[in-house]
Amino acid sequence: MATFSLLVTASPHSSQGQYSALEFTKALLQQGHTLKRIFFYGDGVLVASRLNCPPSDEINLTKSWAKLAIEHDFELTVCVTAALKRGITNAAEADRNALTGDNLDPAYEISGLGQLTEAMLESDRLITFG
Amino acid sequence: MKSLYILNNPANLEQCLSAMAPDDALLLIEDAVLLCHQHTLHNSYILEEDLIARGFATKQSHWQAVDYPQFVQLTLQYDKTVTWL
Repeated sequence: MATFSLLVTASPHSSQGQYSALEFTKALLQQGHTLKRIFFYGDGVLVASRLNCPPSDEINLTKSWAKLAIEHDFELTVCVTAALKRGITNAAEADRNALTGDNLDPAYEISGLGQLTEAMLESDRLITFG
Repeated sequence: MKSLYILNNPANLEQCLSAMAPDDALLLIEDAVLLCHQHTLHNSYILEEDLIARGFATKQSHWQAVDYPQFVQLTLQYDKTVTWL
C-alpha cells in the first residue's frame, strides 16, 4: 500500500480539478492506500471558506472534503499567502492582519509551503490537480 | 524512470508531447478528453467518466479508457506523475 498527497490548485468555482481530485481521493482510499495531506494552493484555497454556499443541486466541495478528511484522518492544508490574498482566513490570521472576521472551515488548517515540501518527502506519490 | 503525464487542457497537447520521453505515458482527463481522436506514439489512456460526460463513447476513442481506480493504479505503475497545466 502506498502513501499519497495531493496538490490542488484548481478553483472550486470555475474548473473541474477539485472534483477530479475528490474522485481520485475516494478511489485511492477505497483501494486501501493512505492519504497524508491535500495541499490547496492558488485558487484552490477558495474551497476552504465555510461561507461557500453552492446551490443544492451542485456538489458542496467544502463539505465533501471535510467529511472525507474526518472519516479517513488526513489533513486539509491551505497555503497562508494564497488564502489571505483571496480573503480566506482563520481567527489568528484575521487578528494578526486586523481583519474583521474569519471564514476558514474548521476541517481545514492554514499553514505554509513547508507543508507541501513535507508532503512530497513523506509520500510515495504527489499528484497535482489544477 | 518512466513518468505518467496528466493533461487536462487540450490546447497544451503539443507542448506536453514535446516534453515526454518514449517510455512515458499520457493520461487525458477533463477537457483534454476532446483529443480522443488523436493518435500518439506513447502509451495513452483516457479517463472514461470525463469522456462519457462529453458525449463520446469509449469505443470511439483510440485511447485506452480507465476509471478512477485504474487512474490510481497508473500513478503507482509509473515512477512519478507530471500534471501538465
